[in-house]
Amino acid sequence: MIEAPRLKVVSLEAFEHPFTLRLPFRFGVVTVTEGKQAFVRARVRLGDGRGGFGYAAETLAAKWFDKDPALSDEQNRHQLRKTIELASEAYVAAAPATAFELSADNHRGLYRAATALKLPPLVAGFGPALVDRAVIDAVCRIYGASFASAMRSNLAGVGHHLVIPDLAGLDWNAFLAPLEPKTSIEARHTVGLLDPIVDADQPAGSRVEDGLPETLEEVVRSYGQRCFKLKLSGDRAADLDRLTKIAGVLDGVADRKLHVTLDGNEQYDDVDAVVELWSTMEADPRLQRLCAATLLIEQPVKRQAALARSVAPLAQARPVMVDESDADYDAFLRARSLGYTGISSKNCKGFYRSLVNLARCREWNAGGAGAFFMSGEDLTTLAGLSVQQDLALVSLLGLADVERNGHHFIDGFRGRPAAEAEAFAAAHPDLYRIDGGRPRLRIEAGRIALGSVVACKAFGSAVVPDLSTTPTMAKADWPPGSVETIVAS
Amino acid sequence: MADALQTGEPKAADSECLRALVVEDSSVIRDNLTETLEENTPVQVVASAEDENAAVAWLRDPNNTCDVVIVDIFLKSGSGLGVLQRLKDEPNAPRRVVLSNHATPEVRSKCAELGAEKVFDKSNEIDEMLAWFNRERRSGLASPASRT
Repeated sequence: MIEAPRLKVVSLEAFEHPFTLRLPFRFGVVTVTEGKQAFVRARVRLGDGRGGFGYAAETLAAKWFDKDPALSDEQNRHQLRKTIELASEAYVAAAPATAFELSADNHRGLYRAATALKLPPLVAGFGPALVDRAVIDAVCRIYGASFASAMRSNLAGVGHHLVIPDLAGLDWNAFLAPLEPKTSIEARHTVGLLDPIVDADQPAGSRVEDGLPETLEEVVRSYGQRCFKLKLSGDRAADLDRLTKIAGVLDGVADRKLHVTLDGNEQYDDVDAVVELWSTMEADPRLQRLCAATLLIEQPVKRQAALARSVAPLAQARPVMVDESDADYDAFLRARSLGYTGISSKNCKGFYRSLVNLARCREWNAGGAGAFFMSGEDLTTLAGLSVQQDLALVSLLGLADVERNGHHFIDGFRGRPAAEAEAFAAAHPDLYRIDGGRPRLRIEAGRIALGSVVACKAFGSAVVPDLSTTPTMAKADWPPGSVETIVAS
Repeated sequence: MADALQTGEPKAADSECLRALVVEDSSVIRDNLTETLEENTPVQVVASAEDENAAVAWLRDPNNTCDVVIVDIFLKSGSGLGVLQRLKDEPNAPRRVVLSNHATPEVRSKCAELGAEKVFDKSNEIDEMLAWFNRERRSGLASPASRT
């Protein structure tokens, strides 16, 4: 085991670029047609004098971290920018520490700072999560280590900390060392609330015709997927109608075992309503195969109520998992006491959080229950660094499948410099296919090959994004009007 | 009402230090900055403030002295520019350094106009700030306050 290096973050720079979706993506309360992706570049110096850069990328997703309808999409993005600023300032000002100490030591302070600015906890974690990735990417690049080997040898210095008191007795080195990264993974396809299911759902002239699949039928044919994540709207009748339509297509996925997850995206007011939905589904002969294929139900109840009541009545039918309610290190502990058995892994919530929750699953399952699990979910991770870092994480966690939707709603590297796209494709030929001269995520027989992502000597990507033409991130106008105030003063 | 001020413990080699007031509304950044300054420079953080009024009140209290004020632009209330403005014409005011994530050319210019000697960008100029403090200490410069 190599001793974890103490490091100083010398600088943190943030950039962002806009992107346009090829198809509208509706989930929860929002229909997304465009967005912005954040990039962070960290310059890190180790105690022995070596230094280098690390990178991370993530969508500045509106209406997921904070679903308050009173906020505009741009205000949501300013919330997220603010957390990047807070984390950057704290990390750059911090004294030398290991990568994990840097994250954990600043965790409470950054959450308090976010709370003072009326930022919800899920928002608060965004900036630190992004910056943590850039820092560990720099460590990997300096050491010439893959993400998996860096974590297995605990180069980050993960260990006992006050933010995770329940794991005080865990031997982190012994936990991390045997983790075996998977070299391929099943891609679970997201079916958004507006997605056309069959040809008839697309009015004449509405097709994108960009060579990529548009309807669910086409997705199944093109990618050969057998794992699907179906979005729920919170309207029981509408959900039943849509699920029946989807089942009409998925019932045709006959040659391989069908896996389905249902994602409530916090759209149901309480667990009773979801139990009622499930009971109706089970009673409907048209939904028999879909029900049998359903592995779990993801965050059906809005976060304000999700951790206030037991979900046992629903959990008797299917395992229930928290996603949006996973806003801090202790979320899984509280969720477990209410009958939840699963928690999502998303890089936007922090890769340390994922490792912590994996450790909890192992410990709790070793205690005999055997029911606790993690599931990899997507935040519309775009081609390039974002999706690759998320894939590197779920590979290390050993997950069998991961939700992927960025490749469906965004056409490859569209909007990024052509040279960057080519560099990623050349460095990761197992991950991308060249289609009409453009690199796009490669999904074959429903699976994504991860060999080059796992092996590269960095956090998921052998190459780095071209930030020479990517605009510097706008200053966070949060609280709203703060930038105007200072400029005018 | 101004928030309470926190006063640091004096270092053993007090006379060798540049005594600093840190005006920063984020406790996590304040704490990190204090540790980094005290570990890497001759700066001793003798007090901190979260807002403009608390900072000015501390500075105007005759029982308090410092050599340098390190001030953020965005504060819990008021602003760093307000602190600079209110110290601008005070004859014995300590030296002033701005540390901000909003170090645009306009802000830098405005800060200089209001008497700030240096403006450092929080996201990438902490090293430069540390080096500046080390240079300043070596050069033996002291603030008007500490000369009196």
